[in-house]
Order: sequence, then C-alpha cells, then structure tokens
Amino acid sequence: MRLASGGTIDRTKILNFKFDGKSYQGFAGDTLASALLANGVKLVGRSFKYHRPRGILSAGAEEPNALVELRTGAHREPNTRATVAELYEGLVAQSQNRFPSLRYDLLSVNGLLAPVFAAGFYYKTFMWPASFWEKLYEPLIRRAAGLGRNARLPDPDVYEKSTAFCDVLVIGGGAAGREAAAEAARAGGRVILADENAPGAEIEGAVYLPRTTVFGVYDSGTYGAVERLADHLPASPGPRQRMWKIIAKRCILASGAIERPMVFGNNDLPGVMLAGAVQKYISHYAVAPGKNGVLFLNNDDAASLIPILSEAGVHLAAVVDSRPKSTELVREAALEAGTPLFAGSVISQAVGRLAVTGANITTSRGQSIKLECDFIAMSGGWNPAVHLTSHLDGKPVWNESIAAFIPGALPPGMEVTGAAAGAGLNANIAPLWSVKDAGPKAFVDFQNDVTAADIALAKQEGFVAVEHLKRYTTLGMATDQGKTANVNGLALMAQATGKTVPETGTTRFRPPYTPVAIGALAGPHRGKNFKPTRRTPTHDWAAGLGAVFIETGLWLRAQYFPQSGEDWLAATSREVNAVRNAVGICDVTTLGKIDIQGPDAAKFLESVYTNSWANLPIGRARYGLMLREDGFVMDDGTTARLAENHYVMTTTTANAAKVFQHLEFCHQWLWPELDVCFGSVTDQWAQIAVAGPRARDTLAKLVDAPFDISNAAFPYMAAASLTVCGGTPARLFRLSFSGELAYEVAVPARYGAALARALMEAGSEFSITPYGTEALGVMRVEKGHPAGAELNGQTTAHDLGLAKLLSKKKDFIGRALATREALTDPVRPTLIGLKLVNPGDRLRAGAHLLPQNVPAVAAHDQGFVTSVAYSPTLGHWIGLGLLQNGPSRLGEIIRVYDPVRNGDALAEVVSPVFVDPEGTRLHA
Amino acid sequence: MLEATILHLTATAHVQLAPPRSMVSIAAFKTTAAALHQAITLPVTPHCSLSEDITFLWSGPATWLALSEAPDLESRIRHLANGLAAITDQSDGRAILRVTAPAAKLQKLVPIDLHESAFAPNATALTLAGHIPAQIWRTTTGFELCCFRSFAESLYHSIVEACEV
Repeated sequence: MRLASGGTIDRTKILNFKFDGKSYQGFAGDTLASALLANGVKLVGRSFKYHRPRGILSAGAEEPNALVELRTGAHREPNTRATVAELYEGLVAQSQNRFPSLRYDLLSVNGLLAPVFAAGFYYKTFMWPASFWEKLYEPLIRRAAGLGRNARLPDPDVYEKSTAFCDVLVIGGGAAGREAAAEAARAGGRVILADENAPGAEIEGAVYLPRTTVFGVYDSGTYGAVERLADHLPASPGPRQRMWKIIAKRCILASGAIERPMVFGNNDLPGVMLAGAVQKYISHYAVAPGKNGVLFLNNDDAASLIPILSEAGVHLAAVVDSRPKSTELVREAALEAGTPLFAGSVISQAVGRLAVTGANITTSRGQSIKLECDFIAMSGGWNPAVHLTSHLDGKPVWNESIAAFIPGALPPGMEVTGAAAGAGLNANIAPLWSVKDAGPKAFVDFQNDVTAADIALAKQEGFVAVEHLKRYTTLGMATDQGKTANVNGLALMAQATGKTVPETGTTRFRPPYTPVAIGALAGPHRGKNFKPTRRTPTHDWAAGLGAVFIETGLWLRAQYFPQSGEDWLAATSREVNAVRNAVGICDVTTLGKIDIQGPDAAKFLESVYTNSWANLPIGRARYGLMLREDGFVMDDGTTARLAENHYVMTTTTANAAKVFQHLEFCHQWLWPELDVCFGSVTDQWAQIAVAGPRARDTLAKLVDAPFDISNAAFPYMAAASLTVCGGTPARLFRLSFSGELAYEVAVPARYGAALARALMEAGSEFSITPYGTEALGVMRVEKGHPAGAELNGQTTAHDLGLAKLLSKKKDFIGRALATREALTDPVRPTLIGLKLVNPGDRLRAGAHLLPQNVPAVAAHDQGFVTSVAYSPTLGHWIGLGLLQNGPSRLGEIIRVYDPVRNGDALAEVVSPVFVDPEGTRLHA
Repeated sequence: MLEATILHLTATAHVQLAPPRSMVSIAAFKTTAAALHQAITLPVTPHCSLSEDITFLWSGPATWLALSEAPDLESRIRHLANGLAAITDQSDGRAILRVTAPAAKLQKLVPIDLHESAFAPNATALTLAGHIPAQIWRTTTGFELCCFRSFAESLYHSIVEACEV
C-alpha cells in the first residue's frame, strides 16, 4: 500500500496502467512492481515448473518471480522484470505461465505431483518410447513449463549501435560509482559513467549514461552495454535501445551487492521478500508491502529495516535472528521499536495460499510459534555483484569473514570498489544456508523451481560438481542466471558433501549479465541492410531492361532479362540461343580483378598457380588453376600479361576476397623477399563479355583504329590495351566461358553503362541480346567448365580432369599434398557428363549416382550430380557430376537417385563437353 | 568518347559525394623504395600530406592513394616515379563521401576512436564503416570516407542514417 508521504516518486504525475486486464494507477518514478505493491497486488506470476503462486521478491534486476509480458502486439516483450520496468502512461502488462488466469491456474495441480516432478524428472521419465519424445512429450512439456511468449512478429523497433572510447569507465551509479566517476573526471581524461537506473544528477566532466546496463566484459578493455532510450515511454519515433561497444583504458566496477534469500518452507509465497527490497520500496517508492511483517535475518545489515518500518507506521510482529544470541545492534533496534526478538530461532515455514498469512517460527528451544503476518522480510546476507569480474575467466574468491564471494583475478584494467568489493557488508553474519527440516518446498532458485531437497537429490544421484548441479537441477539458469540462488545452492551442496564453499566453487558467469534484445545486437544491420549491397556499373541499365537480379555474395547480378510473358527458363533458353547463333553481352565486372606488378610478378604467379607462367608472352592471357596448401582446388581464373612486369589476374566472383587474402598471406608470410605489389581493380574496370559468332563484327565497330581485331592479329587468348568509341581507354581480352567466339572488353567503371549501350547499338543488326548469369551458367555446363558447384573445396585437379595443369617442373602451393595417393586414386569421384536415357525425366543437382540393379543404400553411392541445365542447344536437360572412375565409364547407364525430391532415373555417362567438343568455335 | 555516368547520391545536411577527383594508387617496389621516397614526398605514418595540388594518403605499408582535382594525375605520377612503384589508376575504383556531422555520429559506424585527441587533422585509417571496408581521414570541415565504388550506395545510405537521425 502507498504511504502518505516520503519516497522520490512524483505524486503530482498520476499514471494509468493495466495488469492482467485490470486498471490501476501509480506515479511517475514508480516501477511496475512498486505500483502493483502500492495497489495491494501481491500475486504476479506462476512458477516455471510447479505453477506455484509467486509475488515480487526484490526491487532490482535480480528479480526471479515478477516476470511479465510487457506491451502488446509486435512490441510485446516476455520475461520483463516488473521490478525494473519504469511505469509510463498506458503501460500494459500480463502475467505469464498461467491458464486460464493467475488466480485459477489449472496447472497448479502440478504442485500436488511435486514429489514426482523433482529435479531430473524429465531426464528419467519421458524416455520411452524414444519416438514419442519429439512429437508428444517435448511439445507437452514445453506448453506446461514456460516463461513468457514471444510476440512472433517482426520487431518493429529501431535500434542503434555505437562505439565509445574513454580513459575510465565507471560501472554503477550508486554512491561509490559516482564518487569514482567524479574523481576520475577531476583528474582529467575521458570518463563514462554507466548506470542501470533512471537518470540521477549529472557528473561534471563525465559522460553519463543512465538506463544503461553494462552486460559483458570482453578482450582488450572492451565492454558491451545496452542503453534503454525509450522503454520508459509510451512510444518513441526514435531508436528504442542503443548498443554500446565501450573501449576503456581502465574500468572501475561499482556494481553493488545482491541480497540472499533465506531457505525455509514456502519461502516463495507472495509477500516473502528480501529485506533490502522492503527497505527500498518504503524509502524510494513510499510503498509498504503489507501492514504486519516479520523480519528474518542472520546479519546486522538487515536491522536497518527495523526503524524504517517504525517510521513508516508498518507493524513488525517479530524479529527472528538465527544467530544464537543475536547481537547488541539488533537487540537495541528491536527494543527501540518495541518488537519481540527471537534469538537463535528460524522461520521454518511461511503459511498461506495465494499470499503469506503467517510464519511458523521454531525457537532455540525447539518450540513452535505461529505468528500472523502479511509479509516476511528475509536477509541471508549480501553477495557482491562480481559477475562482470569473471567474464574473462577470473574466479571469485570466498571471503569467510563476510561469508560471500568477492572478486578474485580481475580483467586487465579493472578495479572494484564499494559493496561489489565486499566493503561494508554482512556485519557479524552467521551463514544459514537452509533451516533444518525445511520440508520439500524450501526454494533455492525461485525462477527454475529448484528446492533444497533437489540439491540433496542431486548429491544423492552423484551430481556433486557445481557445474553438474546446475545442469541436473537447472539451478542458476534462465533469465536471472541465479543471481539470488547460486550461492545458497552451492553452499547447500558444500554442506551435503562435507566440503567447504571455496572447495565447491562457483559456476562460470558469462555475458550477458541481463537479457539483451537481439535487435540491439543487430542495430541497423537487418533486412536488406543485413549486409551491404554491391552494384555493377551496368546495374541501372539492366534494371531498365527488366532484368531479374540475383545475389552473388554481396553483388547484385542480372540473372536473366525476361521479355513479355517469359519465365526464367524461356528467357534463359532464348538468351543461350541468341549467344550461340548470333551475339550477346553479359556484365562480368564482379569477377575479381587483381593488378599484379613488380620485378618478381612472374615468380609470384608461378608459385601460386599450378601451371607455367614465366613463358606467357606480353599480350596473352592463360587459364590458371590455384590449389590450397592441402592440394585441393581453391579457385581458377585467367591471368593476362599486359607488360613485362604487369599482370591482371581474374578470380571467380565468390572467391575474389579469399584469393586476395591468400595472395597477401603468401606475400607477407611465405615469400616476403619477392618484389611484387598487387591491388584490387575489380571496381576500377567495368567488364563486359561479348560472345557469339557475331562478336567480332560487333566489336569491330567500337575499337578505335588502328587496332586490328582480326583473328590473325588478335587470336584466342590475346590481351591488349586500346581505346574504344573515340578515345575511351579500354582493355580487350579474347576469353570464352561460353565456348563461342568471345571477348571481354573493359573500360573504367564510369563508362560501363555507356559501353553496354554502345554494344547494343553496334550489335543491333545482329539482334544482339543481353544475357544474365542463368544463360552464362547453361553455356558453361554445355561446355563442361567446372565452376562453383565443382570447385566446392573438396575436389582436386584430378577430379576435375585438370591434372595436366599440374606442372612437374616447378614448385607451387599445394603441389606436395596433391600427390598423396588418396588424392589421385581414380576411384575418387571425377568429372563426367550425364545425359538422361528418357528425355522426359528430370535431372537435379545433388542427386546421387548409383549403379543399376543394386539396393539404393549409401554403400553403393558412387557420386553425385553437381550442376544441371536445360540445354536449348541440344533440346534436353544435361548435367555434370562426379562419379567414381568416371572417365573410364563413358557409355555406361547408371541410376540417378534423388529420394528427397522423388527422382529416380537412368542416365548415360558421357563426356562433360556437350557442345562443340573440338572447340572450333573458340578459334573462329 | 563514351559518356560517363556519375554516381547519383543526393546531398543531405551533413553528407555528400565529394567532388570528382583523379585517384592513383602507388605501391613501392622493394628494390626501388628509397628512390621512390626521393622522387615523391610520401607520408610514412598513417597521415595525409599535401604536395602542390596532390593529396597523398597513406593506405597501408608502402602503399599510398594519391588524389587530385587535376585530370592528368596518373601521367604526373608516372613522370615522377615510373618504374619505382606499381602505379594504378583508381579514379573509377573508389567513391568518396564527405561528412560534416560530429564525430559522435560517425562512431555509430566506425569502430576506431575519432576523438581529436586520437584522430587529429590529417590522420587517416583503414577501417570499417558498418560492414563496408573504408579509408577515413579528417579534414578541416569534417571527415572523408573512401570505399570501393560498388559499395557507394550502401555506404551512403548507412552514413545518412547514422548522421541525419
């Protein structure tokens, strides 16, 4: 209930909100939790497994019980802790994990079956029959035991990301943190103060980030933090949250401490709360959790609550101190307040159904006393919040005198101050990890419904190591990561095994400290902006012609140019026919182009390619094969020699960056003595393939005199620098991927679109046709050229029929390991062509190749189909594949087996070169 | 001559495409590196230096990017240093954006420290802008970011989103 005065809330600003459909009011400065308590709402959720009624335990981020679904629709966020959700006008929240309502939850019958539902229940019970697990048991368990529901709609909010640098990062804006930040600011230097809570006073000279949780510590002084920009507002046009990567030379951790519950029967009833939380609700929010309470403690710190309750006019029925003689401080405080003190006593059970109505006290003499009360404030001592100190694997150390873990080895650059370091905590504490004979429902981990009995069971079953305890019982998992449970849990295990707490140790803390929305981690990189897009110089020109685009890595490439009514197959077939019968153009800018210069350029090429380069004349290009160091094929391309020590290497589009990295590695690490420089010119040059019987006739109109493009002057594989279209600098290469008479013409990228238009104009009398990557793909399959599907990282030069390119006269990357017996065994699947026996059947890449008349099992698998195309040139589907002993089986009929897509057909093994096997068109 | 297509990126309050400049990359050959430094004064730390109307940007070990509004940059560099370095025209291979927004806005994309104390005028770095590799340098009015031409639209949209919101 709300107290008449006091608190830091703004009583002039009334806020309306809804919880489970009912309307309430609170004040600006309230959290959802404080506003609910002010309205006398104690029941806020149902527990994870047993569906027990639960109330608000704490006043902070460590809250395990009061988890709500906040907001509605696409903004709905599950598992929001009511204790940190700032109240705003129109806030809507729903309780979780109950059906049909919080009061009348059907699944609370689980509580009756509690003895059966102990820890390890799922692992032991739903084992048979095994097939039932996936379809029946798991979905049922998932429905019965759960936290909140995901909205299942795209996140409508905008998130930002940013990087910040500073000399000192102070984490925690309490007294210790503020002082540290002020001091660091006075000393000069760049200071950032990050605090989870709503804004307080600014600190002069420091960057102040309120509503900001530092969730993780990473290498090299890097810290991850989330700033909540708009979660406290009804709506915001701007970003909802901002993720910070903070790089700090030094860090001061002032994260405070988290109170420990006491472990006794039914300590999870609504109304049983941490003593420090009760104090905070009264002092900060002017909210009393009830009218008549009992305080249960084992340390002097919690006694500060006694006068606070008095001043607030809240009746304290008793102070129960587990320490045999209590202490002078507690005795005096109780006397002053006129409250009975039970020294050497414990609360054995809390009593109540949907909220606490009484406490059963067991005195030092073994007497049982029942007291009526409507709240219980418990304090088992405080744990310094050491989590961030151990994200880089530092282990906290047990401090016997305060019976708590304090920071041990710290991340480089970090120091700890205040309660986080254990200062001023747990005066005169006598640890009580659990009351005796606590019964089966004394909770240790409220969020995961783990009791003291579960820990005893885990020990009985042999799961004594603290990491096993966690996984067997689920203690310390889920959204609160055991903030109020871990120490009680491991101390109970220590007691059960007769070990000390330090011998038992803690589980490892990992980021994030509190949950982080995935949207915050993504920032602006979502949807189409997940990765950047690269466009070719002819992109707009192709789009203007109605091209359909395909993503190739980061690039958008024209895939096909459908004319009215055409689907992809019709367009592609038309484009292939146009190229083979007349002429077509295709943008090939995306293939990596690497400019290589220097006195040792040829030596460098000799070392990275398998074939010879030293004898390549100026003005010629050559196909090159590149292996990885393990002897497998990495990439292929053509490299042209433009001058004495000047080459341009091309790579496949997909491997451009990889090859460049490989060259850098070779140059910097393997052969730093070689005098060679290389740089990417992929973007500098727009490059267009001109292919087909009329290619020369088309280009002849564009090349500037006196350049001679005749077959004699510019034969297959020639390369030259020239000008085109009245003085535009250009390079011309006579290369063919399609198997037709073909060239690639390159101009500086700004002229790419104009070159495409000029080619279309020059070729119009030959019905020149733009073609895309689909047609490009069909033609290379028709010619049996290996491409991405065959250069899959698992094939060797032998597999692809390129063994003759492995020079025997020089060393090159991959040479030695490529000679391993297993890599040259002909039984390895090697490249062949496939022609369906029945043309009406369908070939699909990925189908398996088996001999006829044997069972279709893995033992008979002899290879698979790598690439498939409909060949308009031949009028039927064709494929390339890798088949054991492939080249020696030409003419054999084998089975193409594709059970996933219901394919089962017969095909003849043929040469992979389906069109123009003699290559006469190339040299036309 | 073929018609040139200019990148079409609408200027906003703080972001615009830099005026077109010639760009040439220079990479020193090992054996002639000393002679190259004699022929041209080049920054040997990550900085830009101005020599007449040519800006030389350090772009990696023994590598530089020369920028100039003069159209004949490549031939001038060849005149000074032919045979001493790999000289490659990159006038079409790069796009440059000019940003006058405060550094804090750019920090949403750039993961290095852009504060004056860490990134002084004439400092340059090879880094990322979001997921796009970029070279950044500080000018008197703000920053310039240089990326591969094919990334220009993506980089522009990222920077506008970061700087104009």
